Amino acid sequence: MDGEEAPPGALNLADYAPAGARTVDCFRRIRKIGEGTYGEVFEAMDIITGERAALKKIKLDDGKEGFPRQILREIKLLKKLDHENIIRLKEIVVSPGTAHGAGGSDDYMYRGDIYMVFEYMDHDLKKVLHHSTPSQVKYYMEQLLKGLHYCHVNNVLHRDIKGANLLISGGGKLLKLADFGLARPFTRDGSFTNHVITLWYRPPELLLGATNYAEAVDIWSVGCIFAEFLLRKPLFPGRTEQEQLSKIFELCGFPNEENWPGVSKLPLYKTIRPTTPTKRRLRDIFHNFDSHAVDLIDRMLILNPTERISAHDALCAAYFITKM
Amino acid sequence: LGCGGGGGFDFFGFGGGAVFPIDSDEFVALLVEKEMDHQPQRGYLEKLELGGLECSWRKDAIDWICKVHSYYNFGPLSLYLAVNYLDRFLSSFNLPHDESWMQQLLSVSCLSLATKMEETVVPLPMDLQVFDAEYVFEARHIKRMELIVMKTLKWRLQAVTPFSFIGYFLDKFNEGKPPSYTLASWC
Repeated sequence: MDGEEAPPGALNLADYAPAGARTVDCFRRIRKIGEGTYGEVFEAMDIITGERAALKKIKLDDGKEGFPRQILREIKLLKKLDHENIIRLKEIVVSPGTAHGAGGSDDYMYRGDIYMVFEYMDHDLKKVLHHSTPSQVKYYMEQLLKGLHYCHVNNVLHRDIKGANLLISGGGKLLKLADFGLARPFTRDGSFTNHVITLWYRPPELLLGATNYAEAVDIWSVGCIFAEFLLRKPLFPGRTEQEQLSKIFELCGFPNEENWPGVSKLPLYKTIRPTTPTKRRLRDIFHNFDSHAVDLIDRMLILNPTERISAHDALCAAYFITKM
Repeated sequence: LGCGGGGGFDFFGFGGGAVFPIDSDEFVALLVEKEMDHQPQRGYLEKLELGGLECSWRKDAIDWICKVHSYYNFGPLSLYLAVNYLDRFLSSFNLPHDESWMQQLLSVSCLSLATKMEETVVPLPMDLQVFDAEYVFEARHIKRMELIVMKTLKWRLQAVTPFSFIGYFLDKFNEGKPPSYTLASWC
């Protein structure tokens, strides 16, 4: 790293030297920890500093767009965002690759993968989502909202908040948002496993086909995760988009022009039909829980995105002010 | 992932510690410092003045980039970035003398990277090659060249440009009031 660290919370203008100068040979692979949209993720150790890192391998195929724009955008965003609750991209390294000459001067023609080097985190939130104490939950929620507030202030939507994209470290003390940009997978193999998992946290406006959406999409996902912490099971485990919507409407009521002006103009509104009880009864399933927590969940899971609470207001909610 | 341009930074203390608002003097000082990382290597200007290979490559490349840029109606920042990448690359790479195709490949790659960084609608690299295409390159070749460019630029693609300072100076000229239409039209 060269230059000074940007002050916490400010836009990070510091670049990541000597990025690109090193190859993946500078790391010793320890184990595979996951599978991303573009390739595998490894736990590795920097041979020189001994520091642990997570290496995300970006497999570059010969797609039509050249170097994938999605990855370029993710790198751009991660370099811009500098916050204690957002995963830090330390550098980018390339695989040594093989010289791949196109007529003579072959030194600069290599073909290889690139690796995004992230700080190492112990595990993801999925692992603790169904067995955390109320004080841990509050601690995680606060950090999640702080990270998200920072993104939103900087005009960045995460768009794929879910347990697997929230990483935990420091014995459960630290939470960071991860997986920016690769979240929206355009799977080439036609599998939609990823799609289904994400579905559970997808807000009604997206399910109804809105293309013009804002920060509130992330808040919905946060609300679903918050509820899942309390219930110790997913709140809306839909298997199809249709089923996802029915599960939401069953608890949050059926949307109409009265509770959500403009909803009838959304592309898929006409395809949905009211299920029998159309009144909102979300609070009923939380009758045994801390009322401040339930109040907050209730304001995060409002159908109309413009009425949904913002990350900033959520952080000011009574839930975070009261002590356990 | 949505990412709008600009955007002010507010003073909510959620991050803890000092926060520079986007128009503060400290922020601009930091920008000036960082701008140094996004400039061509020392001696580049002299090389250009001597009229070496860089000079003719640069002239032809910019010529082509400008044509394609206006053909697609891209924004000003992607033009600036494309030329910034081109200059930084030319200043730190030993150009092969007998590879005129590489000059064209470099132009395509710089423009392609810049549009992917900045534009909302991005044509495929194949479709960028619309003028005077003595050579037409496949996407996989462009990808490789893009990688070489990014590596040479040390992955520093989010360059500090004059655009980064406009907000600050507009604010100063106008004593903190929102810029009037007349002032904005001069910029």
